[in-house]
Amino acid sequence: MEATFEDHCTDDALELYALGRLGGKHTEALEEHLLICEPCRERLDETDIFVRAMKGAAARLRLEQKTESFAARVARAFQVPAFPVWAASAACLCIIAVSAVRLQQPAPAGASIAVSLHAERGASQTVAAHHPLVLSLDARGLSLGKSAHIVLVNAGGTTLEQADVAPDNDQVHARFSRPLDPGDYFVRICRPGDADPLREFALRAQ
Amino acid sequence: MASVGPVIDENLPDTDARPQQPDWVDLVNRIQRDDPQAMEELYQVFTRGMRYYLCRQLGPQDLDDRVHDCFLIVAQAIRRGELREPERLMGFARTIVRRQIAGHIDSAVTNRRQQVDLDTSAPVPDGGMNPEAAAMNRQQEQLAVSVLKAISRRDREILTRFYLDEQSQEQICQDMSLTETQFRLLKSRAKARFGELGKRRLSRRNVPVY
Repeated sequence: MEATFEDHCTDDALELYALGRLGGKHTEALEEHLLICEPCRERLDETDIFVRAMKGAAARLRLEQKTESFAARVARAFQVPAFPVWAASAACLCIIAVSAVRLQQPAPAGASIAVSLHAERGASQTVAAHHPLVLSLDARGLSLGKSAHIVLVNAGGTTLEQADVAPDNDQVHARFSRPLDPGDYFVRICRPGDADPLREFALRAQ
Repeated sequence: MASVGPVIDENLPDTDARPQQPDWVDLVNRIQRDDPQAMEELYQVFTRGMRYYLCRQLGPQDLDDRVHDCFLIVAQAIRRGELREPERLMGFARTIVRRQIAGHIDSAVTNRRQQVDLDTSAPVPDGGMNPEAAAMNRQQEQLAVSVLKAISRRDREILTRFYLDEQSQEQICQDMSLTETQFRLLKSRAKARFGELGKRRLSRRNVPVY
């Protein structure tokens, strides 16, 4: 069906477009319509939010399910029928507890990882967790002068580390010794003495 | 690519929100006659959509300049008589915007190749998400977790296959013995539930509306 001005995008088409799975011909019609229809743009924004949330939630639940299965399998492997029921139950609980604790313990910190951060739009990139970072940050266009203040914050905005560094042409380099636990982080370039960031980069450690 | 039914549907609700259809041929003719009102009309029709699309693909950096460039290219092409099919003005505008995006990506790739990277470095682009947006993302994800936990394991499997594993509707319906209607109903219920939970959360926090 050819796009016409009076009509609106279907929910299915918007959802497939948000998922990046809409075919070429349909994409053309949809994008032409989006150029001139505010209601459909708003619907696409809502669809984006829903799709992103569902992806993240499904991934999280799948990971939880795998973790539970492993603990349950360990418990079953160590069950001994000749023991009294209360003893077998207690043993299973202990095994599950130990397995859960071991699964949650962070791996020991590894070698530093060098990461180059560019000021370009794109999907959030990931780095391996539990490693200190050596960062090269894209500082093009920032006019930093002789010094820059680099701040590493967690997803809640709490400062984890900070450093004053000298810019190197269009880059600033910073070494953060703290190994990152899995999660989302942000690296900010600021002027010394100024809390407002000039540029911010997103990182995901996993 | 997934197959999809009609992309545009005249039966969708909110008919009051449907914009008036401009006469593209008339608009193009008036622009070619240097009608300033026609140029204003062209600006009103397209720039918001151009801004939306460019921001979605390239982010907010230099957005005003990019929108301005796209609009100028479209306007100048019309004035020079380069638009062979005035009724296809929407398609032409879309093509211009996509070329702008492709050009930006090409130059970004070229610039990146010319930079000296550290050994074993992995390029990490600016995802454009500040802490507040990341927190909002997490909250929305938590709502979606609630939605998925409230449904049966089978229904959860269906939605996981579609949203996470990127399986097509046809494949899922075949594997899980579903009709298309059942599949759509499951998705729409999940989306409705997600919306309800979101509104409930907002009302609990008494978020002021400006």
